[in-house]
Amino acid sequence: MIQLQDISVQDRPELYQPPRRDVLRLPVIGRILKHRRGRLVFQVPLLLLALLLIYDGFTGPRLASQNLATVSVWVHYRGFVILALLLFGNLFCMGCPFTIPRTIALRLSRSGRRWPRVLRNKWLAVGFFVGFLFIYEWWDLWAVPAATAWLIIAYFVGAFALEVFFAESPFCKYVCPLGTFNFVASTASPTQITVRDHETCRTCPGKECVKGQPYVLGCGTELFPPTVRSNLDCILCLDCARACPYDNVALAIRTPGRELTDANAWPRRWDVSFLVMVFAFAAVSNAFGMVPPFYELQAGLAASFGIRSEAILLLLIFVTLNLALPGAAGLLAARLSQLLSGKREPMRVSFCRFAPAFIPVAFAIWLAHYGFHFATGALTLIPVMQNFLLDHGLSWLGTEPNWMLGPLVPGNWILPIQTIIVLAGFAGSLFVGRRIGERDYESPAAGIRAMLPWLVVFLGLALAALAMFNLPMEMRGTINMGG
Amino acid sequence: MARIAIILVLVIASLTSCRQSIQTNQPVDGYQVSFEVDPATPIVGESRVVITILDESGNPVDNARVEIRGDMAHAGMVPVLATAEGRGSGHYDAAFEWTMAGDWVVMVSATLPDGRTIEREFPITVQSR
Repeated sequence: MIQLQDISVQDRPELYQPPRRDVLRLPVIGRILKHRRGRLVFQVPLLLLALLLIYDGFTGPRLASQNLATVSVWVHYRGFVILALLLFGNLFCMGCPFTIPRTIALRLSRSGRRWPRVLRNKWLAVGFFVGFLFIYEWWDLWAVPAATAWLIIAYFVGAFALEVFFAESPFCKYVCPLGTFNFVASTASPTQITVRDHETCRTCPGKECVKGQPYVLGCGTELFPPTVRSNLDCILCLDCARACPYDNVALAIRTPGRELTDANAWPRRWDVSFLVMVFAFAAVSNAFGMVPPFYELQAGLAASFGIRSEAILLLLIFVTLNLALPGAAGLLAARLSQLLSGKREPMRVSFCRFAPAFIPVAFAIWLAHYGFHFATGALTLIPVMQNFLLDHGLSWLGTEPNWMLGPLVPGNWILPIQTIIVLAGFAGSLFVGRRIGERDYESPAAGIRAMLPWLVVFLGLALAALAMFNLPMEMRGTINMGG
Repeated sequence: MARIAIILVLVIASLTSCRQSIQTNQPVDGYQVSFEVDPATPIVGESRVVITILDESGNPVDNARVEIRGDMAHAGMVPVLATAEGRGSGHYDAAFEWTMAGDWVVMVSATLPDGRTIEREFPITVQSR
């Protein structure tokens, strides 16, 4: 457990702004959120849903399009998550059902160890995030209900095991690929944890928000609210608000993405910045997996190198697109940025400076991709649910599934909407980059010169995404139903 | 905790037992059902599908009600449904539109004149135009 002497509030009031609007002060919502069991209001329904998906994943139809597990997870979960991140914040982590057994695990882990120092960074998270995307393609998770059910079980087991062995929440902070996605994307969200009165925290003797109280847990990821400048690592569990004896924690409504231009919000660390770049390139590569050129590339690589194993081919593509390419593009842009601006500084600083500016364009590409699946398939849940109930002798939703239900919007609306989203994301990256340039360079001209190489990368990502969204979708790798 | 686990197991067991799709139907063995697409390499768009049904002795089966359902292998797509017309000699055909390139699973359900039902699954890969 973190020690009291490890927590302090630095006397830098210039960094602190009291929240003007606080979700926790809203009449009904605020009371529910701050209630001792307030998180369970979100977690219990999601837990029941997870159990239902596991059940149907194993016993329901083998076809993904008829099974609750695959439809809910790969169409609805992803759509809702990205919309929630855009409109509110990290709601999925807030209601995460995988951490419900946390209390039991914490009891078992009283003598648990601290997470190894060498792993206290985002390198592991980068690995698990890319690994998750790789397994998604390799095992055709979207097409195999039982595999989706196993994935949900693996999440429960993984979260519980790490809580048992380590006396903190390393699963959320360092391992969980979904959490990693949500952490990075939530930096663009319009809410953030902060405190109402900075001085109250400075003089607080117990720091219960982090250490917890006998019946209320403290922050699982060990964030100290008065020092929070970013949503990175915040699972929005609100345990800090429940544990605070002074009711001093606030869930502030802020300008979306405000932290992206805040010099004090983000650490200039290789791992964090690289994670953001991977998040951006993975947005493109994940969409790339759905269009014909992806299969042509696979076939071309197989023919050129004589590789027959799909796993090796995918690994080659994923390592190149999700790790090598962002690394190379980031280093090259950082070096060119140094040369163009004439600023002498460590490569790490140049590499990290414009990393927050990746977020808007990356978020937009993920939104356009997941929004596509949601917009084209949201209503398929209705016949799947009807079929599920009828299969159990229940005709609550009708006596015949209406399989013709599917899209939310006409098909010809999708591409214009995607184009607007991606262009807005690119404009957002341009705005953030410009602000960073103005902030960190002695003249506006130097700031623009420093940003130019990064701008090329943002433009490349946006154009690649638009090119893919213009191509017809194609889904393969599933002909044997994952067998 | 143990009590919750026991309740959970009982709930799942009772749910599973009342799941109608798990109840075993009397299988119709020995019938041959073939599925052909015109053009032979299906591409996105309209096509014609031909189903042929033969009984255990290899005799054509006419007057069956033949329904076709095409699902993409991934979730979130509206299936394509069609009813095939009988053309004699055990042949049935229908217009069928492949709405996206990629892997499909086509389920052919034939209700025989005696009321028995045959179901066969055909994996199909559709090429983009």
